[in-house]
Amino acid sequence: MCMRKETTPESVISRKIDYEIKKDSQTLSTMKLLLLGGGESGKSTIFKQIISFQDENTKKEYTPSTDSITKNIFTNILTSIQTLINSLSLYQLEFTNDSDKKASERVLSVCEQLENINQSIFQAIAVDIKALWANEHIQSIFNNPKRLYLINDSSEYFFSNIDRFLSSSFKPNQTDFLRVRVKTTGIIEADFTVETVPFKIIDVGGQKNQRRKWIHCFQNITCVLFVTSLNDYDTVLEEDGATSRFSDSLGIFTEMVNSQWFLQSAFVLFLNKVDLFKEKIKKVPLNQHLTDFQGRNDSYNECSTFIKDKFITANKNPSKFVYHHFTCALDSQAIEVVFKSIQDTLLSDIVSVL
Amino acid sequence: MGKEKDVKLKPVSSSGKKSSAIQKSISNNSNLCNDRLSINLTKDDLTFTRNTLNNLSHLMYDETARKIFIEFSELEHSHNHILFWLEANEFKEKYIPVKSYDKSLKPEQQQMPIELPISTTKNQELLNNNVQTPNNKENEEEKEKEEDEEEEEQQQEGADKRESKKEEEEEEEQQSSQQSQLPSESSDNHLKLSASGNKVSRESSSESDDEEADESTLAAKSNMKNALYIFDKYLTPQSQLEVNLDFKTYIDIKKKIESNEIPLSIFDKSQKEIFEVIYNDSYFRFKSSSTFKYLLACTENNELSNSLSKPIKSPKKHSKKTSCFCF
Repeated sequence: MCMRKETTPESVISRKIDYEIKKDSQTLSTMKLLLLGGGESGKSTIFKQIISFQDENTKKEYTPSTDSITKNIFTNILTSIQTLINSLSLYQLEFTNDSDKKASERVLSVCEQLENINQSIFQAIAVDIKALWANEHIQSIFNNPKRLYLINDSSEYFFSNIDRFLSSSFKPNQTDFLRVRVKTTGIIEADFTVETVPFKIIDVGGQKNQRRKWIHCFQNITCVLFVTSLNDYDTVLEEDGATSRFSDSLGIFTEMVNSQWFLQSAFVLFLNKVDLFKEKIKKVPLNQHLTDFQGRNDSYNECSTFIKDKFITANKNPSKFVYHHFTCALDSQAIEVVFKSIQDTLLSDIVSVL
Repeated sequence: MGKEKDVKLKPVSSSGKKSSAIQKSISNNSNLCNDRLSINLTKDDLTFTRNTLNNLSHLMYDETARKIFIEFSELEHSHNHILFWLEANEFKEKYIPVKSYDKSLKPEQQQMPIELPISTTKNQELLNNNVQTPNNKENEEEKEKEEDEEEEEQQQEGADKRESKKEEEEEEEQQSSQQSQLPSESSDNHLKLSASGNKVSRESSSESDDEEADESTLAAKSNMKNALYIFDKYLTPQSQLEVNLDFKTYIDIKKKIESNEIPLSIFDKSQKEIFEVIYNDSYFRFKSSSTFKYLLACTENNELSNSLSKPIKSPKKHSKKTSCFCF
């Protein structure tokens, strides 16, 4: 049952050889990067960004057609406005004038057939959406610091750009593509090469029900890119409406960083959605939700460091170093810098082994 | 995405020669992860056209194309959504409306003796052709209803015919044992259910009101069982195949099941949501895969080699005969 490991010179040498064989085999095989994290933390956005830094062929292969992006934008907008309309009752509010009431009915009926959405339907309903978005009640619940509902982080961006989407010659730009929210299901892989070294990047779905699929891609991961949303300290999980997203994310991070699967893997932590976090701490004091926070609620540095430390100290393996980056996944330049640095670290590891 | 290369696909030769191209293991709809059968995609299997492939709802109703799509999504572990969508469809087909239950059944009573043997041979056929078992289930359900009707009739005829009834029951049992050879585990459940149903109707008095009530409880039971089957398989957080559903939709369904109320539309919203998920995620990747390009090439070749006079079949629901798999 309990055999004590003998540390003989032979066993040390043997382990050393095993380690070297493993290192060598890693250099010959693909660099596998795995994106992990909770739902809506920004994994797919980073995935899209990394693809966009590659050559034209790779980009073409993994970027959806403009038609489907446009359709997803329409779907995102309608889902957001639907959420807002349906959430009025949570604040004991309702539309007071008839025109808004009717507009909301029309919008909700379009939402019933979301799968049929197209340019002309959207053009017809856009006036109503704009009117509703401007409605004082909708604005008040949207800006209410106490969010009782979940809404896409990009909804404000989409609402304010509605006019641009209406044009029949509209072509989504890179920002639209990065902003659009599509739930990831399953495990998505993309292959590309950097300086003749083959890379594979793997994106996964983040909801709880998707996580049991993760195990399928845990083997031989060179580097784990763990994404967490700083902004989520006051929100709950979409999948159960109760668990705090922050503690959920910290929970999976703890599990992953200490996992046997990733003993040999590099670990990078993306503290994502910095832009939204900076705005949110002004409205929602951090210590209301993370009660052990002693610092100043209005200090971005203190708030963000506090959250970062929570994650970093979750790593129980002293020989493992977790790199961390504060990021906004939408900021292409910043992500490119971060990705280049990860890439260089990984490539220099190869060189040092050789 | 590189994994899809494992699926060996060769273009169908335009000469019309059957290409023994694909050795694929496809999971059958009702016995999802265990029942693997290998098929060859031949020219005759090309029941789908370019339009079918480019329209997700058409694709979902075309058996061959759908199976390949399921196979593809299995590689990236997102097949559970497609399976859920299909089984939710199946649920609606199997659904027995509770209120109008006996009215709708009356005309069928007359056909009963003819229907029964046919449905058994059908089952046999279906088994041989390896067409999806849901059809079997449907037939069984018809049979189940018929059996109950039979029971009823006999009760009305009086107690002195008990002997002949027993004989008939034996016959039924024989058929039942035939049925139980079917690979579907839920078919067994159906039989159990129908057996318990018989028991109830036997114990109850011959007043027609009570019988109607029994029938509707039976229908409700069957609906509940089918709903629970889907719920346990795809919706509960413990399930291996849990789909990525909005929490509110999940709670709505859960509440309905808990309050014992199973409307026909119970899975409608979730089905819609999951369709969107498939459309936006897996289907998009399927469309940009080499498998998809191969399938497109197949349809093109097929259209070329066929004379233009041949009309293009539009995909139909229940196109049982359109898929002929050769072994």
